[in-house]
Amino acid sequence: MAKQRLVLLLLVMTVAIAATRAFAHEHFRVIGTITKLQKTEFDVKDKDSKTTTIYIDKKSKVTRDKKPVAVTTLKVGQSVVVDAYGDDEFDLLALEIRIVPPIATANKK
Amino acid sequence: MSVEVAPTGVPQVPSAKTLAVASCLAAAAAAVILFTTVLPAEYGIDPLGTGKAMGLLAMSRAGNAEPVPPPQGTALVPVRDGNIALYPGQYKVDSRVFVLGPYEYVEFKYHLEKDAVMLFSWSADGNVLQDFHGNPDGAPASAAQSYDKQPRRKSDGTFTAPFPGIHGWFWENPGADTVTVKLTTAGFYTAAHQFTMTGTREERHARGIEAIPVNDK
Repeated sequence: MAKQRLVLLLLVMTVAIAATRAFAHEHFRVIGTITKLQKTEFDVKDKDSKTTTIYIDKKSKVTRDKKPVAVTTLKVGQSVVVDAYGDDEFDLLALEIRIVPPIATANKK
Repeated sequence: MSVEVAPTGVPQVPSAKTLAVASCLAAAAAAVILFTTVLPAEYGIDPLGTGKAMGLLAMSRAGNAEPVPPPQGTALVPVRDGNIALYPGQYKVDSRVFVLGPYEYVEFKYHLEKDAVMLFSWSADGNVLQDFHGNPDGAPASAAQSYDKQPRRKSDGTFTAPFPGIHGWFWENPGADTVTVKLTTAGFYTAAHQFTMTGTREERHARGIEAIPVNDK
């Protein structure tokens, strides 16, 4: 009985710590062109020529025209809008990667 | 009172009796006005009850009453008094322009206490996704409450904060064209906060009402 209580207590503490860490993360949006692509991460260069590395995991969603597509659809040179979260801009995990029409040629109104 | 003219053309002087009667009538009329109107309105003396009946007693009280102090406190919490709400401080004004590049977003919020009021007008020169929402003080981001998410290009209105916290707008440019959003507000807020795409939260200065130019026309 005591062992079960101890396990339950540890479980509750684990969930609480995980929840706290999840809430501590900030949301980021990175907009730009893919300059480097690997299995677990990719680089995006924004309009200010700043490059940001973003990690991908199995939960990262990739879309085009609001429809889900495979991660393998991503290619170097594509314009993307990446919603990610992390503690800072050097530790970002992609939540959603939207493939959009080329931005550089379309951003003048 | 008529003045008779003598056949010789010289006006006839009223008799002493006529003058006395006229003077008495004038004095009586003055006394009636004094007791029914002047004394109640000026000094609050109301021997005949006419001041109360005509609502003149308030005039005497207004001149002598001590001024009521404004509500006390540091937080801009409204204190209701009939149809008006009084605050322990002045309202602020603010005006912003946000230029949103392709797919960019911005979030701008003001801190208001519960029941505090804000007036707002915003407009965009292109399509935007907007969400007027609020976050209660001390609560996680997931506790945000949305007030209006309908597609709009402009919105003018008033807002009463349902809870103490930060309240404001999320605007997202959903397309490849640059969109400019202009926001103007006035209200009993204490601070303005801008949230950017890089996860930062920056406090912005909201101006006091002395920033409003005097209209002398």
